Amino acid sequence: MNIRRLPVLFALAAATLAAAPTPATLTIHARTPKGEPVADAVVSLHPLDGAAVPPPTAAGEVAQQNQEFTAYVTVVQAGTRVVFPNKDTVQHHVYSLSKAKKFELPLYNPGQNESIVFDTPGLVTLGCNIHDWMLAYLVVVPTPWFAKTDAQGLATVTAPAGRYRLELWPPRLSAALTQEITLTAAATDQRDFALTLKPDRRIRRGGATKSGGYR
Amino acid sequence: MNPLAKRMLLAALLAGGASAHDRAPAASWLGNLSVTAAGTASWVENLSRASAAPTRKDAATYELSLAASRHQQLAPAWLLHAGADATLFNVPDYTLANQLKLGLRLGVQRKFGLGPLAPVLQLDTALTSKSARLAADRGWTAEASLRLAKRFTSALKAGVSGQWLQHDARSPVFDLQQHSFSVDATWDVAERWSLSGSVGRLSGDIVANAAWPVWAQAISGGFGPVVAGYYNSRPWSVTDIYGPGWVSYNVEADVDLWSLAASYALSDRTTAELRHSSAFVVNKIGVRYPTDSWGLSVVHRF
Repeated sequence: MNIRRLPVLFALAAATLAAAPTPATLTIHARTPKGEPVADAVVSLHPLDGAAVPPPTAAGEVAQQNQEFTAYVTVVQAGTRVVFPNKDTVQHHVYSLSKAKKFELPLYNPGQNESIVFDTPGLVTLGCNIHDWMLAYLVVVPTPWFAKTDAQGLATVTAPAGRYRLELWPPRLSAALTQEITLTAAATDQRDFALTLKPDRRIRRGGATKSGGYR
Repeated sequence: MNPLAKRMLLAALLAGGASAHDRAPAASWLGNLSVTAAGTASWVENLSRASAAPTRKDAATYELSLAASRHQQLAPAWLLHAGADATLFNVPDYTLANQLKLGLRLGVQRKFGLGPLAPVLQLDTALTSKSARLAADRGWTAEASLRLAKRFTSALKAGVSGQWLQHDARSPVFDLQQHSFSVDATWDVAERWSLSGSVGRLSGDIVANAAWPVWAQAISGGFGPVVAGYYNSRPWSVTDIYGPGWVSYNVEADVDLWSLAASYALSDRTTAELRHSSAFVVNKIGVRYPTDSWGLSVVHRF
């Protein structure tokens, strides 16, 4: 390399770094009206400025373990390949009847590792046709800027500065909450949501039961 | 069931005879095994199944059971069930009623569609060896049942069942051939509480009992010629099961059955249940044998 070009390269690098948008940070705090934290609420930012959305880079995973799905709620960007490893000791029959993706993985033995690409944004409800209590949600969003609230009801999304439609969806809310939001470069914004949730209608895990008899 | 316990059980089953090469697929097979243990203490009114009210015997009964089952998906809609169970039934006040049953079960299940609301049709068969303290009652029991179940909401499910049973005992007094139909429903009323109930009717042979003075009067015509004629046509023998001179006898009967249970999930794997069951038996000549029981069970799935 010609040593006389080094100052030019340094100048170009400095200019590039200076031009790179400084990301903004958004913190979501989801609670019930009583102040209890709401976990597993999905927050996603949908750009309204026509900003280019980068394609997905990582695969997702929804495992079956101890006759449950892990995790209960998984968020992926549209176009993401999601792996469904059976890490259990029993067979499963994973399926979805959701409009966003209908599929079945029958005869699904321990150790199997099928994967599916989820192209269409929307809510994909997952079940097991053998173990009716197994339920999970795969939320497919058309944006790479998303997060899920933790046990404290907190989630943090880092995104380029700009104007977005914020969507917030917890499993016990029929429709997502939306609001417009503008993120400022290098700034941290916080939004609090008080969510009135529907009762948890999950099927109870097949408990040990005893039936009467007569001889 | 934790992996160590499964391996120990596997080792016991294989009795140390298999090579290491053989163990790997067997361990995987065992991974699909579900083991359930249950203990029940009951108070049974007219356990003796006697028709004469003053002679009826009430008693506490205790039951311990252990069941292992495995399912295998044969095709997307078909599931095969196989299992084995052991049940120990103990009546401290009347030890001749004690018994041990060891059984094998095989069944197939067809689900009509995907999802928890899809109806399920299940055919089950069982073959059980009964080792009763009363030698005359020892023998083999074959059972078959067909059940159609449907979940209506995440909290409510119901089913209709038909069962057939044949018990071939050492003595014809204890031979049974029965068929029954029942309807049941379970409602998960809260996160941990469930209510369940069933009603049904059983028809076929049952074994009833009588104190000797009552029996002697019955077969000698003291209760009329119909009773004497019928009881003398049925197998009977002195078994002393509920006291000296007690007789066990076989009759054809219809039984109206119902039960109600409230269960509380102590954990994902353990449930406590309080059940009231009633059986109202009317034999072929109209003699009645009402039986009621209250039972408290704890069931644990390993």
